[in-house]
Amino acid sequence: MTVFSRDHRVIGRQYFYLSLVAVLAGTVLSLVMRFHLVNPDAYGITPELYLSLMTMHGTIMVFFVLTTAPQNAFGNLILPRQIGAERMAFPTLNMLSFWTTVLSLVVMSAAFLAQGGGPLSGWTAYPPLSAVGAIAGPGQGMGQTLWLVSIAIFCLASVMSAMNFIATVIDFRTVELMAMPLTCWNWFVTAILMLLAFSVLLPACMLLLLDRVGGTSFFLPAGLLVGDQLLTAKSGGSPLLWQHLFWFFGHPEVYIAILPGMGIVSHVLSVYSKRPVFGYKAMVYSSIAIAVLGLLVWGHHMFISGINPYSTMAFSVLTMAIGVPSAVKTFNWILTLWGGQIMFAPAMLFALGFVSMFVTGGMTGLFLAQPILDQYFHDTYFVVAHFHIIMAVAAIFGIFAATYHWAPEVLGAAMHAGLGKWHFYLTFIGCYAIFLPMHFVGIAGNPRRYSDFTTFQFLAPLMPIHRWITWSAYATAGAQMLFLLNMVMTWRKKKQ
Amino acid sequence: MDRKASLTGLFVLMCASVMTFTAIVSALVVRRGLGHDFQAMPLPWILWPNTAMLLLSSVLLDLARRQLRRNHRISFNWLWGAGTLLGAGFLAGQIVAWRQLGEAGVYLASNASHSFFYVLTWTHAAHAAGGLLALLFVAWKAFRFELGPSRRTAVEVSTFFWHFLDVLWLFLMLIIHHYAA
Amino acid sequence: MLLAPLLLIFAAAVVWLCVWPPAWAPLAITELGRNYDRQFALTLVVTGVLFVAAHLLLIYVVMRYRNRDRTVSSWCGFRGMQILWTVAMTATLALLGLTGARLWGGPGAPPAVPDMETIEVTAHQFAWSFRYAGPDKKFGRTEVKLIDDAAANPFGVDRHDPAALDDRMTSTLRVPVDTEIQLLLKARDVIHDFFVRELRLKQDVVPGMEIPYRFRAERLGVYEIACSELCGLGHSQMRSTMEVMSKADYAHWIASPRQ
Repeated sequence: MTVFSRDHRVIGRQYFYLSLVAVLAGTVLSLVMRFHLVNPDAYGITPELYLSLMTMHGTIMVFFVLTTAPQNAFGNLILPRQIGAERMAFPTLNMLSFWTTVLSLVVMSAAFLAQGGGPLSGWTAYPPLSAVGAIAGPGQGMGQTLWLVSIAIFCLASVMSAMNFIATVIDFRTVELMAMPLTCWNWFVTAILMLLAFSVLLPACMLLLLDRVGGTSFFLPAGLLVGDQLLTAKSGGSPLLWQHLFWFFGHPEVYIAILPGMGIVSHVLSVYSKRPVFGYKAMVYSSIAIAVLGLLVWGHHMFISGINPYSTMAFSVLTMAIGVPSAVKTFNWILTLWGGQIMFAPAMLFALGFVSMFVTGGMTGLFLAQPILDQYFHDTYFVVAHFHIIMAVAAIFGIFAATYHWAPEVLGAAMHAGLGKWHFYLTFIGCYAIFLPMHFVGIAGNPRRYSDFTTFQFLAPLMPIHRWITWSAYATAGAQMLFLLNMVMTWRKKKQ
Repeated sequence: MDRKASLTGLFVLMCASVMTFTAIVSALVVRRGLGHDFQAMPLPWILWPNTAMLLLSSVLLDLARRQLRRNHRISFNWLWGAGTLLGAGFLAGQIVAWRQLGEAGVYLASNASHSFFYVLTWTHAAHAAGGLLALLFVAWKAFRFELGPSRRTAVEVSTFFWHFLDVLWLFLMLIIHHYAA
Repeated sequence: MLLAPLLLIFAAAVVWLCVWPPAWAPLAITELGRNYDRQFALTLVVTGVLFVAAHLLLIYVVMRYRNRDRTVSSWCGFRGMQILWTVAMTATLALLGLTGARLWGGPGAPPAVPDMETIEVTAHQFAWSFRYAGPDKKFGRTEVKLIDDAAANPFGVDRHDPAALDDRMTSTLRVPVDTEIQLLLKARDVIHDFFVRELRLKQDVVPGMEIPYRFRAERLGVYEIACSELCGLGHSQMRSTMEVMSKADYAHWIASPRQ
């Protein structure tokens, strides 16, 4: 087994371990962040350090965990077998896409450690903050530039992976499309989304890089006075243009993160209740509907950004519409269990947990889809709670379910079920303990991306909730030791 | 199965390219509507012979491909060689064009329309450079007479990609003329 | 078999949290704010029903169909089942969306009226500045090059312009009660966001754009203004206050000579 293997099973495992390293790093970052929020004066964590931790946390989790594990890790491991193929369509391209992802992670780490500090503009990197360079703040020099280079490299890796998945499903499958397992359908649809989304993020990053180092003004208007420096060489650009380009990628990105998990959940619910998936055709159509609609709703991240009210209304209608195929999936999952014989293996528990979390996150999405409500909730902890429940919990539960279920492929042997059940219960309780109260902090108006809460009077009564959230975060992170322990035990089992 | 997959893969790659160029062109349209500072761009005359070279190279490559189907490997080598040379000539011509623009004071940052011209032509050139590498790989195999039937896919894929670059280039010329010149 | 009771407890916890006082937003002081609260309540009820129903169903299947030696059912639904709930869900969401849309007027809502009190707002790293036109109701000319925070000229007002003589600049916002107010939001450097919780309204402040923000406050008091779009390392320090004063107090303050 060489390091540059072109065997899809090896590459799938390589992606899995890459995501594992990334999720550990991202979790540590979040624990430092949570600690700082409730102990603002301890350990000299400056605002710029906090914000750069936050930027890295979001970036690493979204790109190197959620875009990587559900699709590239499990897809490579399981897709060929499920469609009756011996291998993926382009083994060399597959290997290259993995190593390009590794390169991207290396450059991202360099961005964090760059002179001047890591970027502090969030994973969304809005200009002008991200475009004017170091005068906008620490970390906005080399750190921000390296961040953009890393993301551009990641875009290339994603397009390569998408080519592979799409060609494999179209040309290497031995079953009809409408007999293909739902896992494969979702990997296929996700690959199409990856193709369309990342090929837009790449030019966006290019244009932003040119604004930074090439003297252009794609996103920078005239008359900017940053610090005490008047930027006379820039004029006529629009910060909103970046937002449109970024969110045209950014919204499909979150569906890229969740769709493979949905396919895995359909599969796991079916296997452990001994029932076929209820409503196969509806499940296929709803996946397609979610993907198509997902390409049309990017403006809901921009309701209060200054776009015109008619577009706002259009985006709102389309966003509410995504609730329909999502609900269709939920009904079908529940009915898959109906009349079955349910075995509560860890994989099944995580799949059931996914359904619960998906419902909760979907419900809060309905608040955010309405402009009149988003006018209050935008950039508050309500949004943070919403996307964490869907991405940081539900999508991760999908990864856990896949890992426990396909442990023989991923790790070489089955995992310990008792430990797995403890892991589930502690994580399930812990995640709700963290993110449920976060909604209420958002309802109280707590803005997000604040490095500390001591300046505002209205934030003071919310500190007990924040302390609870921090404690729950540490406890839940601790519970993940059970999973890591289980993995180590499983490796050793396999070696015997 | 592999040949079909390669063609599917090519199609997928072309979709990605189309999305990339669409994003840049949308940015151009939006940006043009924003400020009134969009200056017209002087287009260097060399773009016209460049375009002709690109189109001719495509024709030659396609003729080569057809010759190979009838197993005329010598004709293939001549035609493919000529096509590849013209393709390289296109890229060289682009570099000349950029030099000429630089001498006329048209830089990346001198005006928004100039910025977009450079971004569009650089992106196209990057695609063409990749395509040229594929053409050279095929040429290398061809001159060593190693282009057996299992290698024919490479010929088809690189030819079709090169035709795609033609279409893209014509589209870009249209956009540049309409919006920037 | 822990899952079912767990789901039940957690569903109950959600309901309890929803009625727990500290969890609520502060009192709304505008009509838009009250519309917001109504729509929030309606959305809470609709999503609450869906949330509880989905979880009760989940708890039921998990309890009823735990592994016992029983044949697995091969039921795959009745004809039109998928259509039925698709339509039901579409209708529910359409209703919710329509009610919300009717109450929403857009970021500039309410609409402009001729006698609005217009106040200029400039956001910059990391403070808010406000400018009032003064009794002549005309704003003096400004220029970016004249901006000088140290000399108390965050707007870059041209002091030679006669219209600028009675302009007042402050670092906190003052507005008269029961009056249509229009804030003209501008940013100097990066994107910021103007947010007052009690108005239930926030708006991104984008460099290169001048965006109106309109409201009519109906209650006296001092309310905090919080920047709500990441603007750099001082983002969490970017605080100001909005004081809603009586019309008489406001008129008196506007007319009194500048310090």
